[in-house]
Amino acid sequence: MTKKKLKKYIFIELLFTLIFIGIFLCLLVFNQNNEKGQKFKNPASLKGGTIATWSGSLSNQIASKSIEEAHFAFYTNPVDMFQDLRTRKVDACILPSYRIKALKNDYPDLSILDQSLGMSQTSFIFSDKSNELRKQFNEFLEAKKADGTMEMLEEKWFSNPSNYANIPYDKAQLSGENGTIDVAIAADAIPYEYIRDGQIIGYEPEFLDLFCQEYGYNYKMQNMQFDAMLMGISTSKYDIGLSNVEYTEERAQKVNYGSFMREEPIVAIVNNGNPYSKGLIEDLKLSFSKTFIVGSRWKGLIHGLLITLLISGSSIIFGSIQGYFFFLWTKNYPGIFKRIIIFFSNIFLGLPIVVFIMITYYILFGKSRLSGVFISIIAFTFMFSIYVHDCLHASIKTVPPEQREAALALGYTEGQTLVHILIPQALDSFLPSYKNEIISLLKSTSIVGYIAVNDLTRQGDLIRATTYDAFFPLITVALVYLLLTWIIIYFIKLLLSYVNPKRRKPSQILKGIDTNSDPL
Amino acid sequence: MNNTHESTKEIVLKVSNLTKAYGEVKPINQMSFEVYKNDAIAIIGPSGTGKSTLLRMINMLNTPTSGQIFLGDEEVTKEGYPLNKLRLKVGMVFQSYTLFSHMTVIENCMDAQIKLLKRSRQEAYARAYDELNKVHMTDHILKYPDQLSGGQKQRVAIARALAMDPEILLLDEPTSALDPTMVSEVETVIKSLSKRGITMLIVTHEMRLARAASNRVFFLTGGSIYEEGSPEKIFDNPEREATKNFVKRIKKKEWLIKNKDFDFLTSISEIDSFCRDADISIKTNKAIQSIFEETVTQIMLPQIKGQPLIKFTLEYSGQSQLLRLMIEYAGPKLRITDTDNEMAKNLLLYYSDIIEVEPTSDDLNDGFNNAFELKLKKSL
Repeated sequence: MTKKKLKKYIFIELLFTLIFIGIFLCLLVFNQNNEKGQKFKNPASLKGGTIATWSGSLSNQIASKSIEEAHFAFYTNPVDMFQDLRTRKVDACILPSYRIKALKNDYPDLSILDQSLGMSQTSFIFSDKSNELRKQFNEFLEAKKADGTMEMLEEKWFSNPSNYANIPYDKAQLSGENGTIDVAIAADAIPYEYIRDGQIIGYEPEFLDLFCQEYGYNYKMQNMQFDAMLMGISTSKYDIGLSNVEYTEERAQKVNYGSFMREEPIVAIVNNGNPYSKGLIEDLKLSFSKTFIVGSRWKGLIHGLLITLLISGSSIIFGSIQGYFFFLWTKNYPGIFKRIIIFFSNIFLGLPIVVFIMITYYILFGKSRLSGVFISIIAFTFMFSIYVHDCLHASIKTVPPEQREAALALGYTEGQTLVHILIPQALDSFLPSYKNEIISLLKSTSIVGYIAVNDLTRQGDLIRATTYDAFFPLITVALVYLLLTWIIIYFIKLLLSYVNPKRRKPSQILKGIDTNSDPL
Repeated sequence: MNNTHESTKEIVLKVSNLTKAYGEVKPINQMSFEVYKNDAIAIIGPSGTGKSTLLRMINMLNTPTSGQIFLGDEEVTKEGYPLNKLRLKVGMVFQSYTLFSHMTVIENCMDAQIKLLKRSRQEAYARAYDELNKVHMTDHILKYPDQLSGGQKQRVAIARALAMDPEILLLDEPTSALDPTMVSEVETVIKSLSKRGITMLIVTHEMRLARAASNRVFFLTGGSIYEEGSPEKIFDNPEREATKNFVKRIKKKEWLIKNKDFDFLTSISEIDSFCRDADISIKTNKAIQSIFEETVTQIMLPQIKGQPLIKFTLEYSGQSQLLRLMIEYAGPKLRITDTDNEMAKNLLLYYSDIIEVEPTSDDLNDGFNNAFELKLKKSL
């Protein structure tokens, strides 16, 4: 590809990317929706309405008992629930009251219907292997309730939760002389546990600190999604789980609760019709600051990006090497090896990658304590190697079979034929497929959030969950992926032209040859 | 041409009781022969009789079902014989030239030398340049195969094989895939190879090539060498029946037209093939095709009511270079030279003179009561 063509190509790509950004901005404008809707006075008046609840939670159960003839919409996190309440897709959200109390400045248009529908009791959860820890925890909790520490913590964190940005927290120095605990936390619930300036702080982390100080423990804390945390505890990958886990009978069968730490009323949250938008520019400014500036969240995104690059990069490099070897083995030992590879090819064809990665993490490596990053690399490496093998196999087929015969007839061995004659001619059709597989892998790594790895996507979503603002985090993440994809395409195109034998100059072709010494 | 003092020559290749069987079918059955140094053997025969299979067994691209092949003193059919070593000594040129598309012409000829014979780049270059010079391709050494014509590619393929200094060269229908205009350049090259004394086996159906380049001809049919001898013997004085028939087939051909919409195009292309095989000049070839078209389709068929019965015969004698065209037909006499179709008549008379003759009398000619010969004008 000539320089001119490459420039033209870059220009067109940038143009398309800008158009996409423009479309997204337009969507933002059209999201400004401030229509005044029905006003609800009490929970009873919600009868027959559309109610948003968090599926699997206690609020879900309570809501179905308290509101008559309601249509329920099930969500997996409160951010989405608030968003749909704001745009009046639902009439009310049923949640513990702290969820909206901490965010009353961000959601001036949402308010609580005062009547409590039920009480939610929460505590730490423990794996089946941490019974000793659980006993100690219960003892400690009793003591702290008695000596007023719990009251102090309650006052500190819950008296004015909307001041969450300023509540002081110093992580304690822990000796760890009696061991290290593996802690799983879903730090997306202000003020129970949340992230500020890259640090996990909150009511429960502070209590954990006190506990560990008392019993001489240190801990390793891994942040993840709520569901991943539940899974992690029920499979004993982690010892303790923190996420103000509400007590339900269902959950009690899978995980072991400590004694109750705290109670919170479950309420209905409705749209009160107040304006919430300060105008497009102000909103964007606020959104930007919340996404990147507040709490140095941009650092989190960089960290997530590095994780994504690590997993993708390692998988691509090791997977390519492994894939090449698979290819050689299939060539040299057809029959059984080919069958095995085809078998795995079909598995990857038919299995959604999310399911594959979860099976790998929770079942194949279920008992192990290897980090999610490491297991992701193993899983993706294997998957990528199968794809590389298929790409090589298909592209070798495009080389006319006579080429192999001609090479053999000259005296090349099968191996030499493959490396020096067939593969160079197959590169033309191999590289585009290879490029596609690389990009596909990059995007596939975005699901590692399901196995408790904080990659770029998960980080973006984390910010969205914490700031309750979707625009900048998601758009930023999308743009980063697009940029990475674009870079990969650019480099593969460069590689294609580099390995194109016809681009060589005569001096390169005749390297090391003196054409003047008359050969005749 | 090469001399044939067999008794004093060394044996380069010996084939002994070679058989290739695909189930019941045996394209090669208990074949034995010896190839002497400087021999250039043309292998001819009907299609599908295993000519290519035989060639491919010599460098073991196909494995024999039974029998032995000896290259010099070594038995190459022995189990465990390193095939890539064998192929360094046996060069092969394919019908479809098969140059490596990712290398330039010079690299095609150098690469195997460097990688397999461990020659230095300078040595390999010199040897490749030498061979390319002999096939007159030195102006194209930095070109890629897709920039060359078929004839040029085949010449490079020959140079590539020879740069490896093989003991014997195998050519599998080297001109079959070529445009007629390019056939002669490759034939010239092959002729020069035999002049150089390169030991080779050429599978071909081009009589002209066989005559010009070989000192021995094998006629293959029924799985074995049916008859062998010098080109003069095989083509001009074949001894055995099948040989005679085969050779005749490339020297006399008849076309029978029994209905008005006969396959005209196939007949024209058969005339073309016949003329090329018989080394008839292109001008004459085209003239014969025109004569056929004008006479049969333009002049005769329009005049015939009902089903026609016409026989067109083309006969060629290589020795005397005589060409004979004859048309016989049944039914009432037709107007040929005094036809109404002015244009067709003029074209016909441009190329030939019409002479009325007696229809040939043998059993096949029942029903023909009219005949005439077309004598090609000398000016052609």
